[in-house]
Amino acid sequence: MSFYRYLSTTVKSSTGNFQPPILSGIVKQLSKFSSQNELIEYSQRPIEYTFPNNMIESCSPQYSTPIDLIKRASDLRDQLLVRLAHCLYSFQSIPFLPAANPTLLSLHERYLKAFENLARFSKIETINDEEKFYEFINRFFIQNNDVIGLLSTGCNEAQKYFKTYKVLKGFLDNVLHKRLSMRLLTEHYLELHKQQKSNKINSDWRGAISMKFSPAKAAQQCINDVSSICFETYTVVPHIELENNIHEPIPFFPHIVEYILRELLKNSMRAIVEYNKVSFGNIQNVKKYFDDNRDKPLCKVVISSDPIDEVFTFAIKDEGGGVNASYDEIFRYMFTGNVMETDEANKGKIEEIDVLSDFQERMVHSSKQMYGYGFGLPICRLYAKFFAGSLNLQQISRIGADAYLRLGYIHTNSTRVKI
Amino acid sequence: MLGTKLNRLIRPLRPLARYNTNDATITVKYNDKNTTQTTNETTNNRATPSTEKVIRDKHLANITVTSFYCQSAIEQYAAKQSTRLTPLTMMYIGKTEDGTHLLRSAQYLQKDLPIRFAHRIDDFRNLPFVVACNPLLLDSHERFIKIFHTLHTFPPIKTLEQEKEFTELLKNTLSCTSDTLPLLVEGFRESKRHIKQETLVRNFLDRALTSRLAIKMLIEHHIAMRKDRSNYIGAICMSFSPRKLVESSAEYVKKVCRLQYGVAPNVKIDGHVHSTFPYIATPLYYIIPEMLKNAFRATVEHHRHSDSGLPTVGVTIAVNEDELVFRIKDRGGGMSRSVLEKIFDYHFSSSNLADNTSFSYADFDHPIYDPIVTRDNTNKMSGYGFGVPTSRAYCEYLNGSLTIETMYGIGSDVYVRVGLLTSENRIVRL
Repeated sequence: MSFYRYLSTTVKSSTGNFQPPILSGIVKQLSKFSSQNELIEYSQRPIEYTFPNNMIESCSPQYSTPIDLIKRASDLRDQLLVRLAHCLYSFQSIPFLPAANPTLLSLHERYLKAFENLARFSKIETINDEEKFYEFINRFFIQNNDVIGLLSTGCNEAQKYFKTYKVLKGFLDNVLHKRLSMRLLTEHYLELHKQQKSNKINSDWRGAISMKFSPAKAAQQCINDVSSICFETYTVVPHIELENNIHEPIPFFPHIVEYILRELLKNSMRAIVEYNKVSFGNIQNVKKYFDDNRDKPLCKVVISSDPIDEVFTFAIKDEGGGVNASYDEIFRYMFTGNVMETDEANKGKIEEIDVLSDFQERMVHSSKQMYGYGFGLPICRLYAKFFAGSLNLQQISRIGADAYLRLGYIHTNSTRVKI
Repeated sequence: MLGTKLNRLIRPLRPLARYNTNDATITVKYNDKNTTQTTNETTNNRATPSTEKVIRDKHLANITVTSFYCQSAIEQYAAKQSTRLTPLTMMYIGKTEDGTHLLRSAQYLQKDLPIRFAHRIDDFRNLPFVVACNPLLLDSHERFIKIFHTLHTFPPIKTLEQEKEFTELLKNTLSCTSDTLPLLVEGFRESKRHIKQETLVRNFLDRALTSRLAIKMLIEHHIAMRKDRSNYIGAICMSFSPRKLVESSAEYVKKVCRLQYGVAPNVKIDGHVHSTFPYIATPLYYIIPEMLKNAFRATVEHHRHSDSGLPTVGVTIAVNEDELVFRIKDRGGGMSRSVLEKIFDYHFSSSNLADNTSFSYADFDHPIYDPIVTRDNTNKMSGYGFGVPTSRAYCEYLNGSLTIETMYGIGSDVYVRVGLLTSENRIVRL
């Protein structure tokens, strides 16, 4: 009886003057990530996909009046809001502990701020509005060049807190997928704006889509770039042979193709050099071997296109010994090929090296880096699937590996590629 | 009763099924619980001599399958699990002085083969009725039942003489089943239209063919254990060289290709050419020539009109602890995705799509094509439509895989992977 009276008195007193608890600094810091109405509303809207063939048609020179640009800007705002909200939803859904990792948290915060700023951007109706919007978007685009690097560092640090690989994979797949579509749309808009402002009519480009894209030229460029990185890292460069069977240009987003090719070529070159280093002992011998065998290339790239299936293919066949891991494992995030790391000292050195960053920043930041935290292959496969294609890897143990990258055409009337 | 009805169905269709039978007549009736039923049927059947199946072999002669329905022994056996041996076990059984290893092997086979055949018969029984009544399929079904009963009623093996007789019986079994593959595939060709689920046919054929492969390998191993070939333990060649296999297959396929097209491309072998290891090569004797045939045919047909020589077909061999890989590269123009998807279906042959019919064609009245015995000169280059799916079934049975990567307009690469006998991760079980 007395107990019951005690309880009722405490209840009464607590409803009287309720004091909110004093929150500690860190709790305050994190509680701003708890739910926000506007975000919820946007994240529940379905994504309205843009189709690349529409993008191409709608960007032809007769459509680029300032009014069009304004309309495009406000369309972009809506599209970005929804996609950002979906992307943030992924960030919000991962378990608390891995999400509290400082790197991942800072990325989350960055996106959240962008969302809030974007939402505050009122209707874009005049040229001035559009200019301001352009500035904002440009800053946003450049600022987020390093997201892949940040994600990989963050996930590497927080890896053990993700209970299952499935959660990590789902998170990364989602974020990277949304990010790719956001970047494609943003880049497209930015290019259109720049083109309009400069008043030059350049029929080779429709926004971010190059109409005269030549896969062979892109491949050669990537080979050159990766060769220089390889040379800086290892002081030897294997010779790569390119065989091109596409004689007409194909409209495509050049940056995507170059990104994926660079990743794959990096893997191949690294495999070739390290495999030969092990079998020859030291770098001098390897160098001599490469020089002597210039006419028997250790890596071949074959390019072809299939107009029936509307897909173009890069086959990269190297003789780098292959990887001693099962097919599923190499496509795991954070799987790095084991190249016979002998001592702990070696391992320590690897972690100090800078992490890969993205797109245009690649040449500046990652010039010293042949491999990072093992994101290359899964991201390339994700991007290939995004473009209705595929990335298949066939290992031939102790001889080499063949990578087949297929990307779908974007200029035909199909709805397979959804941005 | 059901048996009679079935017989009536079979009777008008008999002539079609006759082409593979021998000539002795069956005289003795099968003694089982079905005795009463059999006498019933013989009185009802007026055309007894012409409708009975005839087999020349004295072991299988004394069996009449009069009812597919009441076979309780089969049901019993089908419920059991078969014991799959690893070839390592087979290798290390070794030879004993007094031949008890032969006895043990024979006893294992006597226990296990009926179970495997019972499983196959069970599969036949589960086919849709309209499909299973196809005369060729019924023929195979019946033959399996007979083989089952022959093996099942053989007395337990205790002495070496019995073992010898058993080995003879096994040899006969092997020759009886040598044409299973074309019969099955042909039988399904027509009746496939009645099956709505495509996976049914594929699963049935995969299981039937791989089980036949395993049985063949086991029987060959047993028979070979009597012979004393150096470097061989039974059917396991201790220093199997993949390069020799590829070379001999290439020679054979070149011959067939020249017969059909007049030209044949060369084959270049690289990779681990000097490796040798213990292996049973039987499945590879089917898979590699089939893949080479496809590669050669693509090369020849694609470069039909070109003046420069035919590009070579490259074969790369790679061996590591777990698996053996063959990569067969050709520059035969590749395939579009629609063809690539269908290529793994039984009965699909792109030679049927060719407008120029003077080249390869599907001609099914030709004599039996036994894929395991590959030295028959009447083999065609293509057209039957089961090279690729069968090879894939065999590869997967051996813990491997068969993948095809193709670049339209350029060529294709075929990756054949099979598990090694000594692998720890991919234990092969026959």
